[in-house]
Amino acid sequence: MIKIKNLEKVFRTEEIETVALDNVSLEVAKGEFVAVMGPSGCGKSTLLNILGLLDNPTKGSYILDGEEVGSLKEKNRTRVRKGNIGFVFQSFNLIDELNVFENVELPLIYQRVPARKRKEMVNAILKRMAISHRAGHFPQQLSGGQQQRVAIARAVVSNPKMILADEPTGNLDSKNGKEVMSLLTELNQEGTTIVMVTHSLRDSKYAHRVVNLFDGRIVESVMAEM
Amino acid sequence: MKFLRLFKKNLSLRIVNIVGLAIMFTCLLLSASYIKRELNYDKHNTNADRIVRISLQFDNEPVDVRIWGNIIDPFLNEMPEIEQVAKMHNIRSATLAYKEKKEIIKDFYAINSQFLDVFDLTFLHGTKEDVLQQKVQALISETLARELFGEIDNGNFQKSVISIDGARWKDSIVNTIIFKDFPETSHFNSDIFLFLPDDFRHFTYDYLLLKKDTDIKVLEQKINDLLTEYWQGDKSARAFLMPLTDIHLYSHNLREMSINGNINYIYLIIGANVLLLVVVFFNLWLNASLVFGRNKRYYQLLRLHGTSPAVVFKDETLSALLVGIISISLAIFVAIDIDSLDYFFMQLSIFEIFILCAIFLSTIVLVSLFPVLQKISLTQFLNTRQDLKPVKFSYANIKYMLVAQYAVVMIVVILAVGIAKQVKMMENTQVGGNEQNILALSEQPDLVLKKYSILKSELLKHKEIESVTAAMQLPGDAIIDGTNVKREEDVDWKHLNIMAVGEEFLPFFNIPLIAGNYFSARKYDYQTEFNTFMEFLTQGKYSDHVEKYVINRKALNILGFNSPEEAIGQVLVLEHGTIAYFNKGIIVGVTDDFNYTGLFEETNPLLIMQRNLFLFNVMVRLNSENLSQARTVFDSVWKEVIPEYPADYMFMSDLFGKTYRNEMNAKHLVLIFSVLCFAVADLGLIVFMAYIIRRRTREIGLRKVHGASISEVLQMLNTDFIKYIAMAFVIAIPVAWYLMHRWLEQFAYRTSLSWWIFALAGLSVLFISVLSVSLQSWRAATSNPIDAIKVQ
Repeated sequence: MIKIKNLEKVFRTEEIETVALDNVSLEVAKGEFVAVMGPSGCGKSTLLNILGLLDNPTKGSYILDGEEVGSLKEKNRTRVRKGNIGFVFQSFNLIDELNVFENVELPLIYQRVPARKRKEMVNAILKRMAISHRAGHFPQQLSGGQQQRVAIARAVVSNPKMILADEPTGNLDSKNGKEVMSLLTELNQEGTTIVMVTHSLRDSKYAHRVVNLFDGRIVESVMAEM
Repeated sequence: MKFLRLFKKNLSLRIVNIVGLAIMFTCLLLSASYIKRELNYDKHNTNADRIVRISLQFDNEPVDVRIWGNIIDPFLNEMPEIEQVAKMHNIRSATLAYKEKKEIIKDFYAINSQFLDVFDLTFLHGTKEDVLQQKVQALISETLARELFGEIDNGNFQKSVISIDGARWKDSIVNTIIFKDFPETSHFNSDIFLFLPDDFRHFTYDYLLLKKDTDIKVLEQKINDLLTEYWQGDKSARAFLMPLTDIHLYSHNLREMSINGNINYIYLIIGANVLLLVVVFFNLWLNASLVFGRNKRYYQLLRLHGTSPAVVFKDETLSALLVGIISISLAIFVAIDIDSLDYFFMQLSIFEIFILCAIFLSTIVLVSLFPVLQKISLTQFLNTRQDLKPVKFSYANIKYMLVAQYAVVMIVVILAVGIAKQVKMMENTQVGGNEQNILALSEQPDLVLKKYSILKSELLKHKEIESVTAAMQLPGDAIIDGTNVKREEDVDWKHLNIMAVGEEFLPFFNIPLIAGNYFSARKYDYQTEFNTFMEFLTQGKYSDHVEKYVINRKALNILGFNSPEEAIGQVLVLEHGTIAYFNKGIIVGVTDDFNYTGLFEETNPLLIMQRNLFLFNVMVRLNSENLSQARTVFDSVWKEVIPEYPADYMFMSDLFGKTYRNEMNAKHLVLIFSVLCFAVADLGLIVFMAYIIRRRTREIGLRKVHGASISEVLQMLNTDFIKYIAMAFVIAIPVAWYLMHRWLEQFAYRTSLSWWIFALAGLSVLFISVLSVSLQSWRAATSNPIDAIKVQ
């Protein structure tokens, strides 16, 4: 599903040049659950952003589902992203002004899903995430675990082929963290490809494969023990 | 000086504030100076609060502020409340000769001796006693005295006789005394005062000096009771007493001594300032909130380390003071530059300016500290949940303030367009309103009337002069003279207003005929007509000359003609009166109604006739290709034909500006205020948008992550404020319509309040607003969503 080759990402300011990713090549098969690990500043999030088409690489190739997407313009990146990729962030990134239902509904609006269908889909996913009783609440009225469940609901509501999770349990206690990981595992078992950036060794154990990054390079790719 | 660092950190927002506040304070200073001047009219008189002007209204006709021939005196004599009655007779024009100097003087007065008891005159040479003991024949202003005599300080000034030669006034003055010029804020002004003989019977302006604590309304009623008792029968007369200090702003009658101001324009200026204040202080509050938002973390860290909230207040107060002082200094500088230093300080004293500055500065500090007061609790803890969401910022309130601000802008824009449309209509429909190359010579003396034919024929020999005409009134003057007229076979007399014009008058102004022809050339000259007039006056002999008339549509209806064509060739007869020396004429033409006197009054029914004796005003149309050359030609021809006096003229456009001084002022004022309001509101909108975008950066990023395109983000950002502008539009329409409607009520001829005025205001505000925020919106919409998401 994902095929990146010799990927490079350089951040330039007036004074310094930082190589965030250096000649990274990686393949992720459809339905695979990959954990990306490494110390802070090693380029994990940069890699995830490029995989999620939120950023373009400086060099190299990125083929997603057979299409070269590494150098797409913003408009086309949006087109490819829509409905194909779901995002889960460490800090949940819910929109404060929208309630739970509206937050989850957001990707469907931009996919032009009709209102009635949207309602059905949102209600279904909220139920599945066991958060439907909070549909009318605003993010700041929810606990961290609930917020992350809403964020996952938003990521999967449009049945994306792939979920990119950036430290999804980083802001959660162990109980809520476990719940979130169970949810992601469940989604993966249903066929969704997951790439997850994490610091947590425990969370990485949910993945099929762990990719270790260091100084912008992949230093290790280890299959998990099943 | 830590506050200076904070100040510099938010420099762009501060500059927006300073610009807005400086504009506002400039407007306030200029408005205060203007309003004070308008409100101070005639207050220089010691007895200002005890002086009233009396005028009469007959049979609900328009009020002429002059009173004929002492008719009111017997009634006034019965009123013990009246101490003195000052009378002033206006001499519209005369020639003045002193030694070899000759000039035309206009609008001066003959006064009775009580005038000096009523009004204040400061004598530079001579005393009031000299006047009372009839040692002098005239009072001359300092300006005129210096012009005539040169040096006056040695007291040895008048060496020859001053000759005054006017149509109704001739005098040879041997002894004069000199008075200090009237202040600008006097509703009448005169360079020379002559003295009314006791038996004088003509129109006079009458002013009463009342005893202290006299109730003006009660006195007015007493006079009216007497008048009612006396005037029993067909005619009715009603007296009006107007306090001297009200005349300039409240009196708008026929034959006012000068073009008065208008209290409504004072209200308009105050209203415009208040609206601008609302907009400017709203923006200041918004900016102060934003700046405080930016400084919050700094204060949180300070307080974490033990700083007291007083320091937060101190720093923010110092910043507000700095903003205030810079903007006030800028404003004073600009105001003085616009108004000139002398004029500015002549109107406002240092103390008044100081008070204005103090109030303005205090308001700036208060408004700036308001958000600090609201949100000081947020600086207490670092990283509280409130940090994540600025709930206390009352976004909803800002929304409503934005709507209010834009409603104000739209109201002012609609008023500006509406007033400009009315003024345009005035220019287009008022005779002479749109003329840029006509010289107008008003109230010319006999000599010019006598030589008018020669002057005209000499002028027309030059290609630089297109045409020449003359009339009894200039455009904008009131046409109040009238006569009774009837068709030869009729019994009943009809009242028509008279307009005496030169033969080329109608084509000169392109006044079209709806039937018949223009006048043909007269068959008699000035002297012949003068002799006829004298025979009529002395012997009561009517001339058998049948003159030619042109009438307008209103007169056509009054005379009972069914069609313009029917009137042509019909004979009209004039009832006896001063102008009836020619008392018969044939209608040769009919014009449509045209606006000559001004758009405040309905067009009068006009009997237009050719009379040499009444062509007091000469108008010369110059070739527009080379105006300065044409003026030179005019000057040289005048000098040749009438060497006795220099030509005294003004351009018709200036005359128009003088007639519609208030309306022109209103047009410029509202235009300036609409531009300022718009500019300040637009700056505010840019700041508001910056705030919105800053507040929604994360949301924009998230929406983009979840599939929102650039256009969808732009739509999201712009829809909101377009919605606010639409709401403002809905509020502005009825308010602006009402205000415009009220303003237009003063005109007999009004422009229509077309829908496009409102649409134009709405669309222009919308267009410029979208344009001014589009760069910010575009930047936000095209920013990298990842950077946006990182923003907390």
